[in-house]
Amino acid sequence: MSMMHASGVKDAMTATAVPPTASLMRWVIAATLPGIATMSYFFGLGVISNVLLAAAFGIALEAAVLRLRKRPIRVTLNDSSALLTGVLLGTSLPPASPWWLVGVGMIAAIVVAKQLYGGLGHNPFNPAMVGYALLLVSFPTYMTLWAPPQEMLPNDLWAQITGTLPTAQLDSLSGATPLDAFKHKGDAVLASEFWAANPLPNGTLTAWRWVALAWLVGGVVLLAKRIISWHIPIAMLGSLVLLDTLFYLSDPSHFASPLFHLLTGATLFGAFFIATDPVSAATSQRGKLIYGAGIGALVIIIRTFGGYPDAVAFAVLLMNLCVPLLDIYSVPRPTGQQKASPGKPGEQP
Amino acid sequence: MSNAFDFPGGIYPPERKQRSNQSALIEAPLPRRVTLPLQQHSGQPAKPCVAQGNAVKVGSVIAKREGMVSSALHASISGTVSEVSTTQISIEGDGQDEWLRLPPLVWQNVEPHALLERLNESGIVGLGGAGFPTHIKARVVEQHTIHTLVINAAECEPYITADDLTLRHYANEVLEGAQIIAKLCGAQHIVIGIEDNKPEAIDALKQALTNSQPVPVELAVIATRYPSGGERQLIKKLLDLNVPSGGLPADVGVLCHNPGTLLAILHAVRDGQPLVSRVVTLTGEAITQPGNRWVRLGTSVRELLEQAGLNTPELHQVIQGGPMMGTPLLTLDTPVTKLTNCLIAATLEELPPPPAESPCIRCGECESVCPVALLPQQLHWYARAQDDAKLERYHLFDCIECGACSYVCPSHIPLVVDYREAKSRLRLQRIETAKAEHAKHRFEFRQARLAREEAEKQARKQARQAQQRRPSNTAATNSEKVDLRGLRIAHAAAKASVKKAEKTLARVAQEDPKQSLDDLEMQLATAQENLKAAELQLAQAREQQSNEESP
Amino acid sequence: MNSTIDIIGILSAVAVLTGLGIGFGALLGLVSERFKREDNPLVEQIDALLPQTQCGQCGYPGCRPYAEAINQGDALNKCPPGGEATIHALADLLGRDPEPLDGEAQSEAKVAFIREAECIGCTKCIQACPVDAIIGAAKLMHTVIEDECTGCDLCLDPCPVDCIDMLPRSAPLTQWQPVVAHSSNMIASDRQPASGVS
Repeated sequence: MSMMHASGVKDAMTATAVPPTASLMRWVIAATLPGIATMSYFFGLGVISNVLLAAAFGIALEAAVLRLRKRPIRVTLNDSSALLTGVLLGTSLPPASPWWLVGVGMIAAIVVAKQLYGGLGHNPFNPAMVGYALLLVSFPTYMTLWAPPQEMLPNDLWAQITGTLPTAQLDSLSGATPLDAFKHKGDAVLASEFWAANPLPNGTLTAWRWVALAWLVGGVVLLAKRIISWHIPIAMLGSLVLLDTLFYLSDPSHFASPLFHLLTGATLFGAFFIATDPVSAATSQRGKLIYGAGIGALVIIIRTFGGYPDAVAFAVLLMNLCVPLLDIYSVPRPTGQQKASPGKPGEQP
Repeated sequence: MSNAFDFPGGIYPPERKQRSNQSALIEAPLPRRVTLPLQQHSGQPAKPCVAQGNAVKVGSVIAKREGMVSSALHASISGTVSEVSTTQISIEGDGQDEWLRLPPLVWQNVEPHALLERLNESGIVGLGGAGFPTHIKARVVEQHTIHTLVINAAECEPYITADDLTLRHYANEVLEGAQIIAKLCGAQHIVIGIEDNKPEAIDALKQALTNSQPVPVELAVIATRYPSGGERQLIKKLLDLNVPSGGLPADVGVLCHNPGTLLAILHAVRDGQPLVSRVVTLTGEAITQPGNRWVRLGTSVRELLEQAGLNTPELHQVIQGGPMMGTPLLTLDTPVTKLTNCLIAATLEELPPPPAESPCIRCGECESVCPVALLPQQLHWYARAQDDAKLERYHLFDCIECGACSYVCPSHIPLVVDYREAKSRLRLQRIETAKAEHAKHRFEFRQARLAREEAEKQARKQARQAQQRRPSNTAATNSEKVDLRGLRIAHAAAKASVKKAEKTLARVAQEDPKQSLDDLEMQLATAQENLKAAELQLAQAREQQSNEESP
Repeated sequence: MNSTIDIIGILSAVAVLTGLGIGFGALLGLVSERFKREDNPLVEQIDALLPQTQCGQCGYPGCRPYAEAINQGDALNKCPPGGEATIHALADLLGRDPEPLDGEAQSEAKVAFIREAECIGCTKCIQACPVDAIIGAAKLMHTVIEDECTGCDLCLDPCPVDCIDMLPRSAPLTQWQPVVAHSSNMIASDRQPASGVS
């Protein structure tokens, strides 16, 4: 028996099986297109230029680090993961962000968060969110000002190239996102006063809702193609809605409605495109459910009680931190193992 | 009821069974020369009992069973033995095909031990792939009660059609073989598990089931899904029983047999024909006449494939077994053995080499197809990092190496190769650890023996001194007096450890009578030696003390 | 007027802290007495990592005494049969820095073999063997039980006729280890340029 387990059964039939990693990545990129298109419809060409710039930075930085690490460049770039990171970070930034802002974010994402940990598959944190969080805490002025819908001028693209702020964004309230505005509420104290004052420029809320729905479309495509599993998005959205419903019902005058949280900010984008990054997420199905639920809860908690208007990036990064623990305590019981299996967590030193 | 249960995971690879299941089962031409490896089964290799130049007939025993788990080997053609080496026996054929059969038995009338003996001397092993000697498997009733015999006709791997064709041609015989095993192991129930992609075999079975069957037989047609032919998976699916990890189907009262094995059992019992040939599926795009053949064991693979119209320039690789779990042959000059159920002569387009491996992105696809509900992505991680404690925790040894995870991996990681490597490394480590532990116990035993001998020597010396009544060493006795309490404690501790060792030995012997008790017995002996030494020392000290008090 | 309050405050703080000290001290003492172990678990753990060849190359009569010596602070690097792997495992267990092996590492597992024709039956090797793996009697030929031999070399020196060889231990085919070379993507491999990595 087993006379020749030579260099191995090179799983003879796999060549025709499942789309390879690179095409998984490309599917995710393709699924971002409705979201990017909707965003650029409302916020102007600055969205597209962001994405293109970040993607270019991503590829250039990945190639540079691979060269330093003496790794094959072309084969690795072909997996499109750096491109995907660029697209995800690019869509998260305010339109027509200065080029150096994009560059710093991508350095944090690709060089620090990804390649320094060993490249694709080895990064404990979501690279795009590391870049985003770094920019958010380092350059808050640049990161919280979104041009009001359809006020973006083509010449603002010039501001991106020279590295300055578009003039239209200097007025703080007109450039606020709905979440930002709700957080600070202008002169209002209660939620009801806030809504009555109607401080947002015309169409802002609608614009963000359309964008959120566009991300939902992309997410549904990914689910339908089985590129992502349902566990993380459903758990995240479920816990988000559940927790906020509790808050909202307890005191509607202070807390925003679940629908508001669901359809503004990066909730749906995060649920389908950020939290589902398999590399930095929990790995077992039970772990994924806990991981997603944790993100949803953290999003609401930080948005409601924290200092930042949106929280998807921090929530994802915090749950990334919990992944090793989740992985230890969510090992499924293999068929045939008794309940008190020798591999039960805690029994090993 | 049979489809109510399910095992987790599973995949649906292309079946590619049409290529070999279109033509009827025929006899392959008689080979002129056969090479029979001494180990065609699990356990110990057989021991040759012929010499070069001996004349043999078909069915002559050429190698005998060696040790408990082993199996006899028979000449598969008539002729002369041309070579006997430490690993194989070659026979040069005379083309006569003269048979040497054992006397036929009527299984309904003979004693179970006669049936067992027949299985033993016929060299029958499990023909599904593991090659476990059938007579050992049948003796499982000595320790377990068997209620159900499962006929594993699922044949879930792509390409292979050997069981399918066997059932089409020999449905009655296979069922009769099942009745023999059911009688032997006392099963009250027989279940045939077969995938729904073999309609003709199912029809043949239905036909055969109209005949009367002493033990009731149920035909369970299950949906086609890989790996439903895995023993544990099939038992879960048919009977909703979980075979415990590290255990056997017999632990849940089930015995599992492959149709080919049952046919061989019937041939051995009814016709007295030992295991000298088997059904082999010849398939793949690189041969022009695919199909199933009765092949004499020891026939060269090259000869067999060439007779089936091998297109050598097109040939990329030959896989023995199925494409999921089989092994690529390094050379075609290798014989067909009792375990060769399928030979795939594949072209490059048919089974291309997998694309280059890329890093694991932990997508979890492998987890969702794993039929044992393991976490293949974590196992991969820890196998590469050689983190052995984690591998055990993630239940590496529950992996059945079915290859479903490798099949779906989008990064084309050869996961099963990693697991096999890690398993063999861990197995070796266990052996080494056990050896070190054993050496330690032997060392401790020796230390204890030396201590006892030393104490005896002291006692003798003291006795001599006491006889001569030489009141010289009062200075030494002073220090001995102080030690008396310490010695008493040591004596009590030694007594306790003897008791403890006795208890452990008794408990282990009761729990698992099969386990080797050498090590524990030695530990007990060590404790006893220590006790003797302590007793001697104590007695000696007491005597000294009394000597001191008396004068 | 505040001074009295201050003194009371100071005294009460001292009293509370003293009380806590005594309380926890008593608790610790109680626990250490209640859960006292007679064996030294660390020595057991160290002993478990040693290869149990009982060869004495460390300068101690067997593995257990060396384990006790390590626990007392002796160097970790005195075990040639264990090699680098044992040193690293010990360093891991004890939180010490691994040191390079003192002496030459053993390349492979060995067993002693007595050339029986030359044996004069002096029993010296039998007395030297730490695991009783040599059998024989005075003036009769001796032989080594291969399965029990740890390959410690201790029988070589006492033999007056030099009839003992150290041969490589034969391993059955079932213990054969596959050699699989992985293309590693780990950062540790970055020190060497990866060749042919895909």
